[in-house]
Amino acid sequence: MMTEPNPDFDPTDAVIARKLRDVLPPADLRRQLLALAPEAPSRWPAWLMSIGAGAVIALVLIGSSLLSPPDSSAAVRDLARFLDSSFELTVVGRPLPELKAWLAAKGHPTGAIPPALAAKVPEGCRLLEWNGIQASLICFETPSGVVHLVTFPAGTFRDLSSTPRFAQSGLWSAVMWRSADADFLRFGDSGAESQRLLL
Amino acid sequence: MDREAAFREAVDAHYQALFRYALSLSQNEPDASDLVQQTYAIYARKGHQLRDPLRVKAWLFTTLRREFFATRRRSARFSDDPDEVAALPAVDIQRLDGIDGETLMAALGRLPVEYREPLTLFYLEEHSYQAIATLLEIPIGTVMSRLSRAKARLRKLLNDD
Repeated sequence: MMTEPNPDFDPTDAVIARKLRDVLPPADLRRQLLALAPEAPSRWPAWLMSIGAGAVIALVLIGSSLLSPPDSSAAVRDLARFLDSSFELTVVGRPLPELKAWLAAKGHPTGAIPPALAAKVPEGCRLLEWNGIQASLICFETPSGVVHLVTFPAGTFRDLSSTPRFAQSGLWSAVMWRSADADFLRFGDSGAESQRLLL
Repeated sequence: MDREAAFREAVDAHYQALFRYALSLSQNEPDASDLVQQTYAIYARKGHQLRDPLRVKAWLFTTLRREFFATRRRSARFSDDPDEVAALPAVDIQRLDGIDGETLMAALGRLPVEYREPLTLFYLEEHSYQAIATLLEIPIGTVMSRLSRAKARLRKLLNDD
């Protein structure tokens, strides 16, 4: 905790800050938190765990196809596997324009999202890389279930056109299409019919 | 240092500030306690992957924030209106000194969340402008303008009460 007077504080700020620091957590919170402590030290060094986790994600995301441009079916299969994992979103709780701005600032693709889906509230987004190709993931929660939209640069897949194609991979219904500015792969867990409604 | 010791150190160093931040977001003590517990539960599982111990604080605040917004839709509309009041109203310091922390926290709770968040982080003296900008994923200029407007709004609330 800082003990020197904060140069950014005026006298009113200083009183408010002091009052806020007077707010104390419940008496038993620390005990409850310490009960969450990991019981045993890791059997593996932290750096090795990190490399291992990174390698697993890379293996999941790197498709078997090395052809260029690839077929979207390999991406659908790999991404469905990725979506089954306990992945995390990097930015959450932001409106769609802010998510797209964040992705664009990171140099990842953002295309014109179909209005039916763009009207839904997004959960969040993250960066993806598949076969060395940068992609973007935006997740939405819709009344009929979760929808994950993966955006690739236009022309990434040789088999996509403006006519949507449908596929099933595990529990995920996928729809893929190409727009003027992006190749889209969209995954939903509530069947192909729900996917059609969002086109 | 083993994982249990590192975890204990992370709790003792940050849980009070995290609780105040959580309280400013959730506006009630049970939810704030739950948020802090969720955050440390995730840290217990994943904290060992953090290579730089100096990033623990930023990681904890970011994770708590993510957990909060993952379970609560942001309903407040952003209102970075350049015409909004930015001048700081004067507040009677002696009168302010008579207000307790809970009352102040309640006044903070009446601010839109986009103002409440940076102001809480600022007053907790735990975060620089740059750290707030990084945590909230907004430009530092936006942090400064929101802080200015947030302070003006809070002081107006305190004067009106």
